[in-house]
Amino acid sequence: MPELAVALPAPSRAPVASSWRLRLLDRPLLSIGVALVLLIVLLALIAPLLPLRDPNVTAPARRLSGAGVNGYVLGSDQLGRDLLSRLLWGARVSITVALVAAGVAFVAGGSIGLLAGFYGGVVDNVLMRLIDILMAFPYVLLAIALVAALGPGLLNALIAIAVVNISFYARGVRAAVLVVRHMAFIEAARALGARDVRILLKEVLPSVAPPLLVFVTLNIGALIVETAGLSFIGLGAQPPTADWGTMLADGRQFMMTAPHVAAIPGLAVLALVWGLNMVGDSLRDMLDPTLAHATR
Amino acid sequence: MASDTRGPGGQRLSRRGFVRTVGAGVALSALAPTLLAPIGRAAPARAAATPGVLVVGLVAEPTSLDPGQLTDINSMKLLGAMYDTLVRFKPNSFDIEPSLATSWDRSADGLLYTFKLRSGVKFHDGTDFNADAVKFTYDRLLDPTHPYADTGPFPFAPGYYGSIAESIVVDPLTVQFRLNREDSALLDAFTLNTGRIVSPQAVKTSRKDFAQNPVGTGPFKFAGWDHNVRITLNANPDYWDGAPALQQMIFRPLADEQTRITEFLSGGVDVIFDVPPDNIDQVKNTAGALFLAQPGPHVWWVTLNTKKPPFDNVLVRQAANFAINKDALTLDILKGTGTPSVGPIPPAITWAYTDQVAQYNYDPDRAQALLQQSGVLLPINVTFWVTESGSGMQSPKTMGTAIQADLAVVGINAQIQTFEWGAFLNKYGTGLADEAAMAELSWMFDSGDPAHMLPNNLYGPACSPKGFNGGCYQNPQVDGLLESALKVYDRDQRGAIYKQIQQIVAADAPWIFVDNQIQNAAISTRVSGLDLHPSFYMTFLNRISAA
Amino acid sequence: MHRYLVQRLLLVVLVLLGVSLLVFIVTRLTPGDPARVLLGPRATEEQVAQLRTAYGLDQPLQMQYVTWLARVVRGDLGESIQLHRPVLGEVVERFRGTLILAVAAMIISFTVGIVFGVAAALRANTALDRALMSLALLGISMPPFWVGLILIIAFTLGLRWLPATGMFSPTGGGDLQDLLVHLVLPAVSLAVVPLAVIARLTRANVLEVLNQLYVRTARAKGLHSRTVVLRHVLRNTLIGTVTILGLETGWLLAGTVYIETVFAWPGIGAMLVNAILQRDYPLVQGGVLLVAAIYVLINLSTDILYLYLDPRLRHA
Repeated sequence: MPELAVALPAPSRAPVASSWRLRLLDRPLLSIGVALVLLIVLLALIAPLLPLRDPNVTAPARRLSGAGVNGYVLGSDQLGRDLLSRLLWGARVSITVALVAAGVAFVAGGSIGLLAGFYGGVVDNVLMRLIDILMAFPYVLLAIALVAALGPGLLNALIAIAVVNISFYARGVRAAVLVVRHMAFIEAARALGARDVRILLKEVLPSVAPPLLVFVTLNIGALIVETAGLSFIGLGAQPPTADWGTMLADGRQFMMTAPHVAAIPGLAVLALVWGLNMVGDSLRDMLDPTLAHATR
Repeated sequence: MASDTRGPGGQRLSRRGFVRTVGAGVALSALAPTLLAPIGRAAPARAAATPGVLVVGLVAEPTSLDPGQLTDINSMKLLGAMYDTLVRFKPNSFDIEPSLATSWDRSADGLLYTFKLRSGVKFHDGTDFNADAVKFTYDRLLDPTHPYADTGPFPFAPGYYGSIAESIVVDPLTVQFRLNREDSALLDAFTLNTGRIVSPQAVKTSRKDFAQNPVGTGPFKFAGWDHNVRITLNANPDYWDGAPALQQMIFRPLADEQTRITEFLSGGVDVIFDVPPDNIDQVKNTAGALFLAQPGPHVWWVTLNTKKPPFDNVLVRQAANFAINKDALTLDILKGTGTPSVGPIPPAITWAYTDQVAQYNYDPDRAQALLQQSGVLLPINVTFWVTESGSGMQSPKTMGTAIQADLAVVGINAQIQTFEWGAFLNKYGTGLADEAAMAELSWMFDSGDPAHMLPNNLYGPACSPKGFNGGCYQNPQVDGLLESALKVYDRDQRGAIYKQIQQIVAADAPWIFVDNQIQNAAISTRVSGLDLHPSFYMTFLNRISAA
Repeated sequence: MHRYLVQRLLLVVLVLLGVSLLVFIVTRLTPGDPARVLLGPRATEEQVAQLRTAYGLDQPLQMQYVTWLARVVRGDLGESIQLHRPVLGEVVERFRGTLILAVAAMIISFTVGIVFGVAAALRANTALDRALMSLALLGISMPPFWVGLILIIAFTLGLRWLPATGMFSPTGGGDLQDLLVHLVLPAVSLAVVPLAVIARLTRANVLEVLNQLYVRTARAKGLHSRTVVLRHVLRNTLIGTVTILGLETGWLLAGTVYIETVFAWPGIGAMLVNAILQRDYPLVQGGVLLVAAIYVLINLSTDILYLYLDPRLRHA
């Protein structure tokens, strides 16, 4: 999301851990956000233990039931499958894919950014040109083309999303590294004879980590939406696997007759992303006090 | 974005972004005239509900107006208004009657067909329809060295007319086709869109642009094509079969299903085809709307891999057939837009169809008994290829999922792999081989002749990747019957052969037979004379009128 | 200066070349080909091979790429396999649809976003501020295609005020009013996220400026008239906020795909998705190249403009 590129907290050496516990209580927004995210994640985790209907069992005679009808708490979809059950099981799928994709993009993009920012010069130039090429390609189309090329399925959707997001992480990390690179403690480490790798890992990375944490938190929401988007276009989860995107796509045909089939997974996505954004926002405030008065 | 100054608080305040936006703004305002220009062009007169004008909603933008180039039924529907074929089907039947050809006969060895052509017929550009035009049409399709072959390619031509070795002009109203092999299905093939007669003069003048400037002998003349908006056709008062009752036909591509329905219900279009199952009740309950339905020659099935366990065992294949609840599928999921099928040939092709075959009513217990008898260890995992979409595939994912659920009940766990249509065709064309045990597919018999479908899908030598026999079903008896059917010309005798094939195939169960689609349409009550034809084409357009 | 220009132009060419190679590779990696899609199940191996030859697909990949590239350089983007029409015309026409949508979304998000942001900042820490910022936070969390679905349910199916699909009415209409009526829902759906982003950033910028002003005021013990404050505020706000709009362009051009799908809007995103699925190689390659070129060129022209405006950078 564009906002992230513009307003990240300045990376610094200031210790962060000590004050955050106190701030948690100060901040209602953070608490709500954390609560929302934890609730959804928890529900997703314990879904197998809950007394839910099997999410894949079809009952064509009771398709498109409304909420509360025919014993379905949230209604049923076009094959008569329980929406509540598919929602919770779908949460597991959607969240996992987003997390893993974020991880992959982070590692891959982050490494590129780290190297480009730290070494500069030709390395920087070449790497950033490659990233430019990746960015000039309309990102959604790249994801779709990749999935069409690799075949549909969650794994490939995951790869596509990760690849597409690498450029954001690369640029973000690079920008952060550029700021840090010339700071005194780096010069000091060099003067003391530390090797590049060591500097990278022990000095640069920890300084860059906090703003990156904010970045990742805010980005995961976007990834969840992108995963849903790919499934929405039909290139994500395979039947009968439920994920929020396919549920949204399936529901689209029934908007006239049964809008709840699409509305409910959409609300779920909204809630989770909202929670994540609240957490990310608050983290950002906490990490960079100079921004604090600007946002709240 | 290398150098952005940072203000206090870490905000990136820079004039760079400002300039970027101004630049974009300047660029965009320069484009403004072009943005607004087409708006004026797009303003049509209100055509819906005008007497004498029929507005038809298409499911997609037509791909071309050159019949030889077409591969999609949607575009083919439209071309029936502008072109004719040598022979055509009678209303609501697969019986052949004269069209541009008035009579025909066939040599004793079946290798020479002679057609007598109708006199006094002119193309829309004023040139005469004659034997030269017929020869030009078919040579262009089949001869890669033809001077106008580059107005192609013509994907379906080799498949339908590959048996034609040469077309010969005997005199202006007599044309002959010499074949390289016997092909009793050729006459049915002459009714197809691919073989519609084109004006040689127009092709020579327009070359590749002929696809945008069609000229035929049909009841309507091309008047204009506003891409993605509408295609306008005006009546041809000199049409040889009687001037059209309509003055104008307008075809509107409405790709989005919901838009199509909404436009129809609000009176924006007079006719739409393929009403989505869940909207059928809506149509029936709307005043001024009629719902037409007619069994179409269509089959939807699941190919089973007969070369690998578990479906190499006929008992398992039969069990799979017994396990599927086809009534629930056609009633609940398809909302009655399909009827359960019992074999590879649809009931709509009455002369070749029989229901005196092995019946696979929904019977999970019988399925389980058969599975036990077969000795297969349950539960068993199999891979099931499903497609996202595709012409004739109805609701492929929903149906696939329902089938998966039914099979799970008897212990066959189908892992679905979905592919979008292009990738799916690719996989299927390569064959199920080692990769899949099941794959869904369908077929629309627009030629009304099993000879164009069965050899593709159930003929031994057509085992993928050679043909589309994805499950590699090989039964020498069936092969022999298919070959002999091409050499028999009496329709009843041919029908008997195909009925026999049906019985063998039903017993062998190389497929799970699922359903036959019922083609449907929603039409406004102001329209009369429009009937659905089993070939899926729009036919006898000169007999339609709109009050 | 000139060196910089030349450098940047070379870079543009390089990036576009890279994009063309990328799209070529990715589409050819996709299993299946246009011949398969056209023939469907009515094909023997032989027929597929015949058709592939007709489209030049049996040539080695490098040859196909070079041939295509050579024609592109001459301005010929080839012919769409599915549509039997020149790619260039089709792509430009569809791009116009996306442009209209993107511009409308930009206008909405810009104007409303700034108003929200300024209002929130001027009433910082009051109920209004908290309400607006909560809405904004909600706004950036909403998936655009879901917003679209909800708006359709509310305004088309529920209230019946606005149409749900297409750019014009299929029958009648075709004028500006018709366009605007169809534009409302999709543009609003697309504008929600940028609007929220702009609102938040504007608020931050405005507060920034206000703090500076009040500090200075406190020191000078003079009086700053409201107009001066506002002028200051707006100027700095504009600068800070439009930074985001520069980035929005890329996001919008790409992000319209989902909105175009939901609203059946005839834009280039939906066209490209369909073209990818149909394996319409010329259309995909041509379309992607065009979108990338526009994106890159906008970046380039504004960078050059910036150079003229800020002499400091000329020596950078």
